[in-house]
Amino acid sequence: MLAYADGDARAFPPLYERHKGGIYRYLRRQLQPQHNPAQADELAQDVWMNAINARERYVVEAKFTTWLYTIAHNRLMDFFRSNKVVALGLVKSFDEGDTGDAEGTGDGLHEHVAAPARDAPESRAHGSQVARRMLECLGALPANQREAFLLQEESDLSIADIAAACAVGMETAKSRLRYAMAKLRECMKEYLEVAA
Amino acid sequence: MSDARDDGYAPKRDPALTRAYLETRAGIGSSADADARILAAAARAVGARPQIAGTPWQRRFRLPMAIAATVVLSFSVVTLVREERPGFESARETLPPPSAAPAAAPSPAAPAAPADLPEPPVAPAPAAAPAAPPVLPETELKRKAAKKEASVVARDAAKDLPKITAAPSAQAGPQAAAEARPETQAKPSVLLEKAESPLRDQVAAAPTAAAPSAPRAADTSAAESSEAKQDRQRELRNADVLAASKGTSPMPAAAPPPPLPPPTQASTAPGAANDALKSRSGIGSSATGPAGSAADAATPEAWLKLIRDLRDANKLDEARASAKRFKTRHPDFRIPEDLKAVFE
Repeated sequence: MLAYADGDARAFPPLYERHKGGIYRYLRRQLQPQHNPAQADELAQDVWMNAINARERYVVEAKFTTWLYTIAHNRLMDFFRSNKVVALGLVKSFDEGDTGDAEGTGDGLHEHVAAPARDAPESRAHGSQVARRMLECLGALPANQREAFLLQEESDLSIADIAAACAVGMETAKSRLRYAMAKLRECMKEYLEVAA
Repeated sequence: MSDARDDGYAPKRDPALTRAYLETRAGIGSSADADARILAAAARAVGARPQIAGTPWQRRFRLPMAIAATVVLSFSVVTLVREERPGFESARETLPPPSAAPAAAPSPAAPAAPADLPEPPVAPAPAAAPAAPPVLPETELKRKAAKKEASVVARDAAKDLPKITAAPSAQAGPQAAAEARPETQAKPSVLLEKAESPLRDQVAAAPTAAAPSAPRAADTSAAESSEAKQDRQRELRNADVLAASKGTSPMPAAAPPPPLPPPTQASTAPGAANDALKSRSGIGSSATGPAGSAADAATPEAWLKLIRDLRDANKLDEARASAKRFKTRHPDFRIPEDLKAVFE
């Protein structure tokens, strides 16, 4: 990012290739089912444009991933505010602050899940079932807990980085993540046992 | 910002959940259009500062190399200019001031002064070219080139010779003047000298026949115009022709002033005159000597007179041949009435 900020245009495409999937999935999983994928595209584009425009303000205080997901989180909050999506609890927790155990009323993410590339049809079918169930479980999570889980899975951020990206305290981020994982384990119990 | 100590109390990632989540990632990604738009915007954002193509080595040394090339080029130009200017200034320094030098004295540096100088010395210039022939049009370019060459010669002369004072010795003066004289100025005069020296030696009686030599040029008035000199040259040639036709003196054809041969029967005065005519008009000899060349190169009036003399000497064939060559050389010259029969 420093090279790109210094004017080297060739430094941007590798950066984009490395993070575009994570950013897109983070945004898409956080959107409600009524939002179509085009909105996720639009939000992702906004995130990257903000990153491009803010390139000269980028300083090496945190990982680039943390900086980028902070931009993504802020853009998502703006989107929720402009669309009056307060029911998710995400905006509320962002605006009012919470202790990490604020329960949201997240809906399930009923989206089409492409079949993973597997060799055996049974494996493919099982993978598709797991993916579908996982999406249902993610959708059942409160938005802030889902966000903590997504940030950890998509960008491999630490607790501190998740807290920084979400503009919350460390304990809050840790609590959100712990709740999220516990709920997902419970939700995915039968599939995880089969897989084990 | 990352703190490993705090992360120690953080919930560990569950591999089973991670695997299950990975199942959801397949086939999910941004569209190609969005990718293209973002990449284009990123390129546009830094497009104001174009990237330097080439290897890192080239990029690193491009600016220093450009600076070095500029410095070398500038130094070369300055050196060339300084090489030119000192010569110019030294040539000027060797020139005596116009008030200090007598106008009639032939200064050796005077002819060397380039004609394209902004302030050429006034007095020495006419004195430097007393023997200059009429300027031929075809030598115009050569003359300009010779001026440059003369400036170089003058510079070299200024370096080699001691500082020239206002009154140079009589021997060094013409010598230096001859050295410094431009090629095209010296060359025709030498040719003319060679061509006319036999005639001039033998037609000593003619009052206008004396060619101005270098010492005599010193006595020549500075105000004498070049046209007057041309007229004098012309008169000199006419006198030569007249003397030859009247047989006042036998003329050897080509050689420089030998002792006069004893008059024999074959070389009586009219015969010698005819020989002179032949040699000067180029008739009767396959190789035209310097005298013949000089006669052909003389003024058309003199040539016509020569043809007239041939006709009067009853050498009609030679007169016609000469007339034919005259017509070739001077096709637009008006032929006198009395010679039209010869030309036709």
